[in-house]
Amino acid sequence: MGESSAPKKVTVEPKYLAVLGLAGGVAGVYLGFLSPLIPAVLSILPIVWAADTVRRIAGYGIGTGVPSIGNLSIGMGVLAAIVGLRFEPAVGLAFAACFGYLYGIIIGKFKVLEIPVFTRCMTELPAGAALALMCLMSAVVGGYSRGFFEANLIPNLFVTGFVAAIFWATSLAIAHPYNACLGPDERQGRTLKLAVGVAGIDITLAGLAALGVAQLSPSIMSFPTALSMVIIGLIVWVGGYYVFVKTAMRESAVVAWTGYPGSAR
Amino acid sequence: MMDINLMVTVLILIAVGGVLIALGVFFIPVGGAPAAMSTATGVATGCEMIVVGAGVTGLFMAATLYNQFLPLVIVTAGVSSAIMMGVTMLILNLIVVYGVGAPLSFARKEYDPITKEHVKPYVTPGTVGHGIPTATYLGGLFGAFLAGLGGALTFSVMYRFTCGAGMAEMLGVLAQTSPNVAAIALSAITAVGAYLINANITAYSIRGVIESWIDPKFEAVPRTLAACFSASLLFGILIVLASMTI
Repeated sequence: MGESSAPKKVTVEPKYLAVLGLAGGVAGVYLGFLSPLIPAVLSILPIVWAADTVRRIAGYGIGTGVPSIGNLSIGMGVLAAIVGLRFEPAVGLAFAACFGYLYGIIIGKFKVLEIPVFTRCMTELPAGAALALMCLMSAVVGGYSRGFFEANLIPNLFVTGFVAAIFWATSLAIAHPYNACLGPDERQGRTLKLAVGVAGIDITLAGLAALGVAQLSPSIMSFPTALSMVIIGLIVWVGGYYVFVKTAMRESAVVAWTGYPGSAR
Repeated sequence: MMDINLMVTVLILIAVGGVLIALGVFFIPVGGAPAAMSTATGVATGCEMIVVGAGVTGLFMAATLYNQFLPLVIVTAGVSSAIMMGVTMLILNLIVVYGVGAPLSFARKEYDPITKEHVKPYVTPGTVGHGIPTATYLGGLFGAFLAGLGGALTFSVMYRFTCGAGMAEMLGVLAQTSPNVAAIALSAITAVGAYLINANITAYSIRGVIESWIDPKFEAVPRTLAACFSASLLFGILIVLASMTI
């Protein structure tokens, strides 16, 4: 695959997706004190942004498979997200973008991979992944507040191991949409509909983790909130997949059935 | 508050760990999807999964021996990782020989450099080899050993730093009688993040399939290792910030 295979036509401009993802993610983390449901729902926006970035970069054919890009983004994102939740979420976001940019420069300098949009995408990917992770991680333990890292996050999310599920589910949500939809007939709108569906899986898992947290420390997470997080996740999951399957069926070619039992005509 | 010498040591050890992991993967025969169909030499999975697999095996051993002498911990972890990869490659060979019915061979060289066997005639036309012959098997064992060393080094250093160990404890025996579960969980997640960052540099430079040390792609080692060292140093700053004493 060469430059000709790079994506051309888009339904939504990547710029708008970036603005939406940034605004949604930052608002989600900082408004967590109102209700943990806000970061959980707003985490869809950075996930969709990151999934679109994966689409742009993997369209060049990187030779290692699309999931590697998702895992790379989550590897950088989790480091920045932990730093962000520990000190200040905006600092974590800035670190993610800067370090991702420098990573892109290093890859280009040592001639490991030469793709024109690599540096720009490497700036956007970790930022999106870090925002999504910060939203979900803070949603599970009842929203971001000052000094909650040592008091809430470590005992409830890290020691129990829920963080591993959120870590891999977010990686899946970022890598899976393009991995599933790629091909000559791939279209941005359809891929992003799937991204919303997979983000629903991520929210559902976060809700299940929140159910566990509600049992462990009822003071930071109430049972009804956790249950509504699961229900919201399920609605987004089922709704996203319903719309995606509808779109895919509308845009697919008609295939004549030639097997057994014989065709209608 | 923080000891700057200690931080620099941690940064350099993390970068060395990243370089060891990347170097290890160049020795492991990575086959990818073609190997899963027995049409290429190597372990039937992607580069990235092998890096994370070998690194996490080292991580498990390092977490079990959390308070032992550091060199002992990382060598033990390397051996455990080599055992893991050895079993994987042995089972793959059993499946290829007795299940698929293909002889172990590769197309890069006429003779196996270790056993001097004539392997090339056994390659099925249209493929580039089957299973894991002796030369690549030994390369795989050594590569997994290196990757396990790197994985354990990265994790142990992060864990000891998170627990607030000094320079002597960092490189020697850790004075702890029960593990700090919070620190283990935090360092395990950050260590997996570090593995993924290094894994991708290696994966981009290998691009799919490599046949251990007999492959021409082995020439890419120096610049890949330089890139891994720089990237690990860079993200080491984030790791140090993320894993300050809890």
